[in-house]
Amino acid sequence: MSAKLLHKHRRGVRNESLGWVFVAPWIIGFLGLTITPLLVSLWLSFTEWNGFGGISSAEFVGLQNYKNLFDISTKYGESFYAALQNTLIYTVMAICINLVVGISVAWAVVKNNKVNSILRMVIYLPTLTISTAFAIMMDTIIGIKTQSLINRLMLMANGTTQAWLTTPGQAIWVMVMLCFWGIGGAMLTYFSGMKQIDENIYDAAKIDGAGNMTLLLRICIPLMAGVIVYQMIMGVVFGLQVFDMAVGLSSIVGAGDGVMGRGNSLATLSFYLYNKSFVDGEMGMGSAIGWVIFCISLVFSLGLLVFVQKTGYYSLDD
Amino acid sequence: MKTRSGLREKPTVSTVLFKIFAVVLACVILFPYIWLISTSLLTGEEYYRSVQPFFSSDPQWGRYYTVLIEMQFYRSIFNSIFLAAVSVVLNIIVSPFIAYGLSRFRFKGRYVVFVLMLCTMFLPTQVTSIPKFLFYKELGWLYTYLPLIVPGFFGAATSVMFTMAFMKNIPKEMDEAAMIDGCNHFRIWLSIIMPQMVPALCLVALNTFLGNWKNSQAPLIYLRDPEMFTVPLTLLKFQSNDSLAEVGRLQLYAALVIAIVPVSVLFLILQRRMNKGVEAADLK
Repeated sequence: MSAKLLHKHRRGVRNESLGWVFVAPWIIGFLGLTITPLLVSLWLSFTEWNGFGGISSAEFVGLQNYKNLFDISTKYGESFYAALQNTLIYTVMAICINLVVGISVAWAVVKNNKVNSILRMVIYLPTLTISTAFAIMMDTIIGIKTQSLINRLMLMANGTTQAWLTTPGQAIWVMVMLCFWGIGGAMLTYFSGMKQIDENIYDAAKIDGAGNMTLLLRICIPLMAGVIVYQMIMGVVFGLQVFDMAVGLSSIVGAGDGVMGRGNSLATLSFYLYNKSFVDGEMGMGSAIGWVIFCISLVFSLGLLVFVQKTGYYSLDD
Repeated sequence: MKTRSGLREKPTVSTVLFKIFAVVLACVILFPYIWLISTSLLTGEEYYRSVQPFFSSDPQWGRYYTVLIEMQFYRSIFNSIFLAAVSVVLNIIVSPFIAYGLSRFRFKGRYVVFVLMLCTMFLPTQVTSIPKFLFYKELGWLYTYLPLIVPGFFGAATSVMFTMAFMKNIPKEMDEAAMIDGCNHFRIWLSIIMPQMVPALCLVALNTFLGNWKNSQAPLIYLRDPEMFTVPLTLLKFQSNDSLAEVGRLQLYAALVIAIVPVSVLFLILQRRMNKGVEAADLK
């Protein structure tokens, strides 16, 4: 006991509060660039403002912005529901593809050999590619012009072309399909997760006669429950924010600034927010859209966590 | 395939199917890149034929020169590299600094800070983008690089978490030994912790660079002057040129190749070497 007291009075004793000094930069950033903007944007969502004349010229309109968004007869509601539908379809499909294809591919290339290394590098390639550049690159294949690969093939086959990206309802499935190209990130995460599992478990199971699918479904996936939940939640958050791909694809159909494909074919919530705020200058409406995205994110993420805990698959206490 | 006991295992139907799936996927993924390079080298006449040749009879290598030098694409590349480099330098200093405080000190509220930091990782950026824009407008920072650089001074949650995990591996006894010798905490951070974090910091540097290089949302909002554009913005601008001239489209594809290929190859090589370095450091 007395030795401990002596230690405390020696020179260079650890002052635990010094931690605040080190963490200070993040705290300043958090207060200034996260919390304050969050609250300001909440307030702005209840106003109508064109961004000029100082923030005091914002006109308080209560829930009018939100009412407009959810009323499909207004031009706001029309675009909003198109964007909402597209974004939800994309997010749900992206998570499914991420999960099924991501784990399958990671499982297929998990062993350390030359071939697998190369496969992993190739599959990871799109993750290293700028999203807008990727979208424009895909123009050469799935674009609406007659020179795109798909249209060339269709012309040779039955003399017609198809404008996938400008048809509402079709464009979003093009975006979903592009998720297959983006699987590298998920593959890498699952791959890292798989690498942490002890090989001996597999060997023991094999002696008991376990086949490949059993090893994957009964051993690997349950042991990766944490990683899977993490990927799904990140998938929800990033899926709901999808922007780059929509903007890139929209530009390749020649849509001008502020147009989301044609007939809102490429509308996503983020894209709509960008248009409303920075192209049309409707800051209040833009903020409202931002909060809608936030609330949907929260609901989805929490719902996911609750669902996963209920199935007993994974618990936060693990 | 050998098991631990050295017995050879017969590949089952299941494993073969998985392998085929991975190979097919890899080919599908690689194809657009190859197609892009091939298309970018075609002459205008070849491109507009009904059957697009794969190998051009007259590869237009000069087009790369046109795009890079005459159309001044090099400027955008330089801008992107500059912004990304600044952001990397800031991040590898600030984030470990914050991580040191969070992992080595037991101050009141430490857990709260940790949870809040975790929450910011899940926050959609769109909720805060408008007020941030207005804030920068008040400061007069619009249409400059400042809104893209200054946030780097406050650290990035993902990098902090990442470096914290690595710091856990550095034994606290080293800190204590240094303290007894009279070092203050800042010196401990600088001279003891940081040198041991080099492999982790390399990974952070790579990821920060990549994230910045790919980012198009923030530059789109804050930049107006085409001379300041980063690569994604210039590509979008070239895209709108395409409708003006017949050759415009092929030039766009050449620009894409320049934007995509060198960085991807570089990153693949660097990431492999970094990962090997991290594994080696981990084993120590």
